[in-house]
Amino acid sequence: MAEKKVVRDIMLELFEYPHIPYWFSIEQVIKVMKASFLQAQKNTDPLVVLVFDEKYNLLGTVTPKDVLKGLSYSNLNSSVLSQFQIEENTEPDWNRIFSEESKNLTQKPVSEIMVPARHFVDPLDPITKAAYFMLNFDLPVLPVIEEKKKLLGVVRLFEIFDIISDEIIKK
Amino acid sequence: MGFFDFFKSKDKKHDRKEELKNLLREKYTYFENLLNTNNNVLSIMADLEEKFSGEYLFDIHYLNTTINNVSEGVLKVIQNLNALTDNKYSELEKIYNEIKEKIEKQLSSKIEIPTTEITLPLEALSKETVNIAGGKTSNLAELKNILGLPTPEGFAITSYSFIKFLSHNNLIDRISTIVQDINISNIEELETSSKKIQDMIINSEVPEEMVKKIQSAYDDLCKKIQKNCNVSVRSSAIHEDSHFSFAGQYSSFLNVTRDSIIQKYKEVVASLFNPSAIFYYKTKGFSEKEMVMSAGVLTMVNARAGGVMYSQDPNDPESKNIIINSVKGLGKLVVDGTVKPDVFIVDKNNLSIIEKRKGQQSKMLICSSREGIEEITIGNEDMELSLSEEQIIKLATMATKIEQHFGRPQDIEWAIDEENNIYILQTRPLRIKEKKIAKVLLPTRIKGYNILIDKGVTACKGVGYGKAFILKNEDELEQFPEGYVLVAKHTNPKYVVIMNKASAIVTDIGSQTGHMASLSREYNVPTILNTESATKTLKHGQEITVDATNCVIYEGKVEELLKIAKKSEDLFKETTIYKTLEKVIKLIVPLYLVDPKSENFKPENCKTFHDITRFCHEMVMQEMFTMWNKYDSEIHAINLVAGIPIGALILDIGGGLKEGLKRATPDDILSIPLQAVLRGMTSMKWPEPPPVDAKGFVEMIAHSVSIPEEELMDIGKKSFCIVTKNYMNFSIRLGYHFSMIEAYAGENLNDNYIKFFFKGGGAAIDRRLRRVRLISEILKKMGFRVSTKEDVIDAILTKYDMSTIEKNLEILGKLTAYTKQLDMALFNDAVTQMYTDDFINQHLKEI
Repeated sequence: MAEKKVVRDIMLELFEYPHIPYWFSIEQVIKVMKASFLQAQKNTDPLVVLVFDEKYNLLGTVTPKDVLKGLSYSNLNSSVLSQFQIEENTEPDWNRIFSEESKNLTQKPVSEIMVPARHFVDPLDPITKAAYFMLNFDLPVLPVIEEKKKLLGVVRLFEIFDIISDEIIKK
Repeated sequence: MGFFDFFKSKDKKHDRKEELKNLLREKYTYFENLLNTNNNVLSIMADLEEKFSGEYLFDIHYLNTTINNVSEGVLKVIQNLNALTDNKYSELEKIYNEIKEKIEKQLSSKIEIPTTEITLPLEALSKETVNIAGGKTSNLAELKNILGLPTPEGFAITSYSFIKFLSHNNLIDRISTIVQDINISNIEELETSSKKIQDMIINSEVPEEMVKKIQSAYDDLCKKIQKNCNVSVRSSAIHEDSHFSFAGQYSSFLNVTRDSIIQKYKEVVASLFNPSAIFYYKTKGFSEKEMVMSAGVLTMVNARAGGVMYSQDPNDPESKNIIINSVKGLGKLVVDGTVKPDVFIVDKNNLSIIEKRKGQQSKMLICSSREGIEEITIGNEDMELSLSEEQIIKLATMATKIEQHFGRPQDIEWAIDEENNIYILQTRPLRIKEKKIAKVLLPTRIKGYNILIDKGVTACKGVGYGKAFILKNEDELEQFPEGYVLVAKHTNPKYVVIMNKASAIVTDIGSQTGHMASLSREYNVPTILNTESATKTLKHGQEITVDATNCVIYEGKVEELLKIAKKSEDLFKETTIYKTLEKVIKLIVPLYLVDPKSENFKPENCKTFHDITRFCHEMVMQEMFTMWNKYDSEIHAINLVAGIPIGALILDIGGGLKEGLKRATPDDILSIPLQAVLRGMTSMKWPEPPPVDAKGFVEMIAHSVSIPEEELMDIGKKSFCIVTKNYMNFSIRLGYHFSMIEAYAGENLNDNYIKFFFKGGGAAIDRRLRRVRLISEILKKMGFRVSTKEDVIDAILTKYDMSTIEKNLEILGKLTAYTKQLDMALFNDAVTQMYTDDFINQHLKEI
């Protein structure tokens, strides 16, 4: 049997993705996303922006989904729908999800809506470990860190899917 | 360490601190001195150029003093630069001395009187022999020998003879002393001194050799015309009949016999020192060494009619008419103005007689039978004109020919002998006092035209018409079309490349004593500076007329103005003193070192004083920018507490901070440039600490990717700022990049500048380069001259008024905050452009 592939084999470079410092506002992130993903016509899957601090430490990730969530009414918490619904069986007022309040929220720093980077893999870890983290914590990308110190890159679901599915089909 | 040792060591530290502060203050003083002197030199240069326009009279005293001041100023500029840089530019003094030597040579070049024969026949002379035979005789020889016009025969008693005559009697130094000592405001003293000199000359002996040679020349003259004749002995001083015409100030004698020639010669020489001539010389700034008199000895024309003609009507130069004034007998009466001569007006275009006006002549001058002239009365019943139509046409033809030959209107003396032969006796440039009038005549506002701009200062007078070319960036200069008007935001010596094509130049901002203004004058391009709004008010391609004399810009073509502006007679430009200025100004004012980025921007390529000052000014800015690193100055600085996440130390070396501080808040800062930068910095939103829940991870993941260890070490370093009241040199360490803002903001806009330097970043090279592009684009938009090399930016903005400098510094403060680790975010060109546009839209609107 061929040697098992490890995380390093499917790792992508950090600079494949846009970076921003954590103090950028949500508005700035939106502009970065538009300019990076929409205007540039280069579709980098997944659509994720990496968030760093001033010493270039990775603090987290932010996706369009995180942005919209962050701007939505009360961050769409559990009771939200009931608040919109005046009477039972009536359609909720969907327009209220994104309202004037959303505009104010754009000035908040991105660090408040990012998904903090809490999970990571080593370049020599098996791909299945990476798959576990990504599936379990619903991560867009997973950082790869060497000797618990140096950030080398990220892995994404596409390559993990490719390799694991191959293995399964073969079997 | 004992108790007292502690104080000793404290004292020592204090001493070292004072020593260093003094040293830095001293260096800063050199810098300020250089700026001041440079300005002073530039304004003197501007004044020289103004005089060079030919519109103002000046004398040799002005020239000597001014050039002396410029020389001293340039030397001081060099000395201050060298004192600041420990003689780094010592070769400049050598170049300076070479230029200075050339200038002095031009200034000291007194008239050189060549050694010649005692006399020279007219045939041996021409208009080029002024120094040999004086102006009047040389001009006459030109008519005879080159134009073939009829003139009396004759010879010159040369300038060399004059020197010989005075030397023989030891008069040169004696006369010099008397002339130098004369106080011309005291008329009595002037007359006494004049009389004294004249008596000395009249009572002196003409050397025997000279007498013989003069008499022999007379004898040859008689042989040539085959009869004994009387002669006229005419003054012909070196400056006579140039544009300092000295007209009528010297003596000439008519109908002189052989035996009287020597005596009359002495009287002609003596007339060189008559009171009005001395006054004239002295007020016009000539040196007495330039007072040289030769004489013309010409066969006497026993005139039946004589007079003066002007090849152009001096009162109506537009009319193209020749004016002939004529009397019966010798023409002297016309000059004296004692009779009303006949006047004949001839159309120069077709030589037809337009008018014949009979004068009133009750007397006439004739040659006495033996010697001298006498006046005789003629009856009023004599209604006959002094000239026939044929003679009028002949004279007019000659006038035209003479005017054409000399290239300007002429004042010509002529005579007709008893055989009706015409003789030209003398010609000189006609003085038309048009210049001053023309200046007054240029109307300040022309009615019926739409005035677009009515503001600014003149850098070069004149009127220009063309389409407006609104310059957005320097690269567009290549497309500048012939005859357009350059409209730019600020002045820039680089615009020299279009000065031969531009019909005028207009800028929003700029200084009259700046380099570009100086170039405008050199190329004589009408130029208005400081209009404040030309680039906004005028439209690209719009037809405009620029009146740079009155600082008015009209819509469309204002023919009236263009017509008036065309008339420019530059009589003064023919004078010796003007020509001296013309020669020395070439060594002072032109600017060859235009582009500091060019590889030719070196000391050895300085050809003029202006080049030297330009070079020094550029170098002093460079030196000041980097100088502070050499000294261990940070340990004596105090902390800046300004509510921004930049740890900064400040060292004040003169009026930049309040006294006796332990740490400085923005309120303690007196330095104008630092105040402005901080205003910008504090107005921006700075990052707050990262959220706590993200921090735990930070411990685990250290820095990533491409940052070298030594740069990481640098992050901990503080920023450092050296200040005075008007100056700031701020080294800013922010994240992984280093930037430096240096600025001078004072009252004189020539001094003011901002230098900006930027390097580094933590992101990958492509993102760093994008940030460089972003910053460069913003700086260019602000009007900076920007050069980039990899991830290094070097930019400079010069010669703006203080408030504009402050505004720009404020923006730089904002930009510093804005671009903090922005490279991280510059994922692609689209993001970069987005950030560039964002900043420009938010912060650059007002400039």
